[in-house]
Amino acid sequence: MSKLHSPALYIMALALLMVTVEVGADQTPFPKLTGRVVDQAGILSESVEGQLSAAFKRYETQTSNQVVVATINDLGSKTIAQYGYMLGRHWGIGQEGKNNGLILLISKHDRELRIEVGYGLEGLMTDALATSIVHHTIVPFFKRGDFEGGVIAGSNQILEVLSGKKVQLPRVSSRKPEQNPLLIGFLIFIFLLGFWGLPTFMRIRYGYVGPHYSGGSLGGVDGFSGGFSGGGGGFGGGGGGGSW
Amino acid sequence: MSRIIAVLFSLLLLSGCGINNLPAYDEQVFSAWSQVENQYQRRADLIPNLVSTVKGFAAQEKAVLTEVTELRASVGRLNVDADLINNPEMLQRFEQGQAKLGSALSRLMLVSERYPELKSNQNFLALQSQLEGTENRISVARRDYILAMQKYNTELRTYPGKLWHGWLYPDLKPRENYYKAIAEEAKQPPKIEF
Repeated sequence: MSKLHSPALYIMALALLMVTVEVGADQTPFPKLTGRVVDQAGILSESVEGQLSAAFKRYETQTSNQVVVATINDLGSKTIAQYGYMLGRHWGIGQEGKNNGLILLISKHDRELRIEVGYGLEGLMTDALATSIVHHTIVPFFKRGDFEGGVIAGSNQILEVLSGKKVQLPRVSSRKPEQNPLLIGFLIFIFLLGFWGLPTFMRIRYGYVGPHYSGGSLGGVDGFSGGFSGGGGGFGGGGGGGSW
Repeated sequence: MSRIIAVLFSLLLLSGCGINNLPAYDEQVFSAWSQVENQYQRRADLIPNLVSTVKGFAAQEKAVLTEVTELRASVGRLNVDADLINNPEMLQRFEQGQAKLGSALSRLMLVSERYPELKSNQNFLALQSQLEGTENRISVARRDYILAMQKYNTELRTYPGKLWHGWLYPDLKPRENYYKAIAEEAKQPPKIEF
């Protein structure tokens, strides 16, 4: 027992304490990284969260790029651009060395959103593209109060852009974004079909059990089984945002 | 044998005691600064394209267009002939020049609001979001640089860094005045003048 009271141990304990205090001083409370979709503001249903998580997980296994969605209540004293890159670094989204992370960040009470892009993805997701996705794809949904629709359509387009598909910038001014509701509806339909409807349909029809889904609403739980954590990627303020 | 173990053990202890911290933090200050310069350069690279696009729609806004072009050139000259990281006065002048350029640019963007055709121009919209993104990257890089200097200065003044400084790295100097040069500028955001 007397060993425990040696001065060296005290010094070590003190040093440890100092390290924790130092680290803690620079941090405003960020939400915990509980999965690929962190819905602090509570604007997404569980099934949507599950679909998104599964899509992001599949995308990561293919490319190692990490994409997450974060919804928060408010930004506190920060601007959304500051909050975005700090959150990205705090969570360490993206692989270390590759810095290939991306966050779709939504602050409910500030009515602001932003696509925060890690260093390594800035070439694919340019600021202009990120801003365009926010203004032309997501904001029209959010203006109607349809958060889920906006997040799904936005996530789809983000994954498309990151996969290297050429996405045309809409040829209208940022004031009056025009959307083709049919196209968006069709995309959502395909999305839903792919992630939820088809496996369910096939299970009913042919007794097929999908490799990842134990059931529609449980897809999310499976989507990040084994625990999801950031790979230690870095952010430098790339991306674009807007408000609704 | 036991002596070798003791030496190895104390070496291990030493590396845990921050014997390498000072040079490492010094290196971080340098790399953080080069990131700041990169982002300023990125902004400077956007300007010619931006100016010519705005000119196409709003040629009568000569005053602000020339101002932006001239400020870009004068800041560029400072950058070329000064080893900024080792000269706090030049650093301060450089920072002031960049801040002026930043506020001239935001005036240019403000003026552009008056021209509906310009505002709906696809090229302009892309440039606008790139400029916004670059301004954001500049502020991130500057903040990282300030934090890196803070860390370095603190290590220099506190134990055990202070001991290592005296023994092993007497040539490393505190970067206090550099810190002041850039951090004071940061406290006052560039004002938009009308």
